[in-house]
Amino acid sequence: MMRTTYLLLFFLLISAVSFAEEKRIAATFIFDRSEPAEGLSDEQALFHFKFKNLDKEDESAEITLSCDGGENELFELKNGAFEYRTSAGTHHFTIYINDKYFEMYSHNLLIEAGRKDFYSVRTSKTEGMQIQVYKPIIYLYPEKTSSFEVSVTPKGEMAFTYPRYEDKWTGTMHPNGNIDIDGETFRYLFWESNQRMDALDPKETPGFVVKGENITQFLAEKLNQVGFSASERADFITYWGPQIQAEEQVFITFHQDSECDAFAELNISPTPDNIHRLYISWGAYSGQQVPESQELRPFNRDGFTVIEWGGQEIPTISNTLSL
Amino acid sequence: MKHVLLFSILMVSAISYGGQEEMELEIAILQPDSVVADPALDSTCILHFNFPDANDESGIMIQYSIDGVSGIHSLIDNEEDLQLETTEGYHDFQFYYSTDFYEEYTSAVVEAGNHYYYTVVFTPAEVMIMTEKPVIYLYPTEEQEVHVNVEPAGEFTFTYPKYEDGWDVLASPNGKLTVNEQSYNYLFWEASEQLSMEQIDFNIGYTVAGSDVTEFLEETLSEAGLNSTEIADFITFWAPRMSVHDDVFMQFQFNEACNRFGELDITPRPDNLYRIYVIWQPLEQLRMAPTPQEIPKMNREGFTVLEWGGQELPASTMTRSL
Repeated sequence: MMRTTYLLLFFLLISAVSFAEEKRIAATFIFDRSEPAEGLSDEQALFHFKFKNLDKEDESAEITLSCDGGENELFELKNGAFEYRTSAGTHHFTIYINDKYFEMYSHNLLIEAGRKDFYSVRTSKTEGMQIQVYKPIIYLYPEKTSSFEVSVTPKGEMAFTYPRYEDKWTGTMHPNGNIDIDGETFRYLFWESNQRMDALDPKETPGFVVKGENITQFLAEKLNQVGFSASERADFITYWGPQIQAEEQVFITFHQDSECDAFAELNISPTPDNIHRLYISWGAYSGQQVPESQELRPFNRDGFTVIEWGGQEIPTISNTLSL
Repeated sequence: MKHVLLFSILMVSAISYGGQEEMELEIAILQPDSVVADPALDSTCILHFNFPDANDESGIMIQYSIDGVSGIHSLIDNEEDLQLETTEGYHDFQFYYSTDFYEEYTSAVVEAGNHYYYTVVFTPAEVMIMTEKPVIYLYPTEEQEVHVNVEPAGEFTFTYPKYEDGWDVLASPNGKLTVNEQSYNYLFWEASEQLSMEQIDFNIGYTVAGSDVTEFLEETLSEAGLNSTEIADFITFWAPRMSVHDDVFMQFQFNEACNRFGELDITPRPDNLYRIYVIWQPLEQLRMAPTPQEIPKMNREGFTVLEWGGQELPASTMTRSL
């Protein structure tokens, strides 16, 4: 009986495992049902695609479709649906509605001759997603040992802080970057928050398109250029590098200094001579758009200097069909 | 004796797929090995399923569902194929055998008056797991050259500074590391490896509420003898990911046990090498009461090396209330 229980437990576990692979905001083709189709020749079959969560005015939109990586074809939706006639066998699709929705990719869909298979296609909006702002960490480099207060006002809800944050952090800071709080020594202050953001559009945002495998070199170069120290650079690269490297290609845009007020406002006393902030926004990107290149300003580290870095992974609009 | 099960008498499963209705399935059509007409069958057909993988002692039965209705096919009482009598048309199936294999999803289109013979092949359930963020700190008693070699259990996915036949480091007593004239606080590597969930003993470790993760880790890591900088590096890496869950399962691995993630070879030989890895998993419903672990205390006398890392296992929705 124990054995039975054990199996039941793992039944659920394993089904969760097998689902966990699709991470991307992409393929969302859900098989609904199949029925015999009329008026088809021997080797033909029919796909019926019904789009979910469309805005009313898009239910009769003209959409762009590519089947098996072939040429773009245009279709007009009727009540948010359309049918596609093709040969029996396995096919995959790329579909683009308009810039309000992410481009959609199907996995390989198998269809038998003479059948009509119905699929629901879940759309995702490019606007107003809940995004986590990850790992902003703050380093303090005073000219002499002194006490400090730091408060962070994030645009969204605070998700995590370390050391513990109660309205502010207070402690003693040292020129070598050590921060003493409640008798413990830290190298940085850490916070994270959740907030609403729009998807990145490489057509409209200056930035960089980088292959995942080149990310360490790319980041090292950019961070050197702005004036990160080697250990700050290591903190940044060891955090973002592995995540970005796992993608084939990404779009990256940086936010500097006052632009980072869009994520959170920092209040520090005593007033630093320099506050430098650098945030990275990045997302997997399969498009071919060459974004306008972004200029980064070098840090000035004279006097009492505060450095903060953070970032977010954010879906990126990859419209491969319109290019 | 042939067991022919009719849908109408199949027991309705108590297993819920809670929270997974939204998830998509890629359902392949199962092709029959053979189809045999049977005049005795009028408005139904009989499906025969053969499971060549289900004889490796890792399970004693096949759990299945057809069009959402579940049943169990015992492999002990019944050596024969699973047989199901059904109506003509399109049917969805799920099959589960043991933790060594993934659950299979498939479907078939059948016509009345036939026997259909199918072979169901399970996919082995080893999962690729990332060994994440092992970082290595070196604290020699005086400034000295140290060579560090890592043999990961799987493949390196990331190293920093760049790993080339090991790292050659000029290490200082305050923990500053110099590699190619750049200074670092730690050496970083990551790897991915094949892991079977059966290797993990879920009866040992801790169940911690997401909201208590920081406090729990602070306590445990101080008890182990890590300093506040090292604790902050550990907590700011793992705790944000853990604390978003209601509950997590955690298990620590220490010292020699960590050779299963990777082997460390350090020259000169440190007086004390301390390794601590956390294996953890989000728990959606489960309230296990695992046996707490003995936390060995780090000895920081002489040339000391500390490494920490961990692995996040796929989420579990299992319940133990059965």
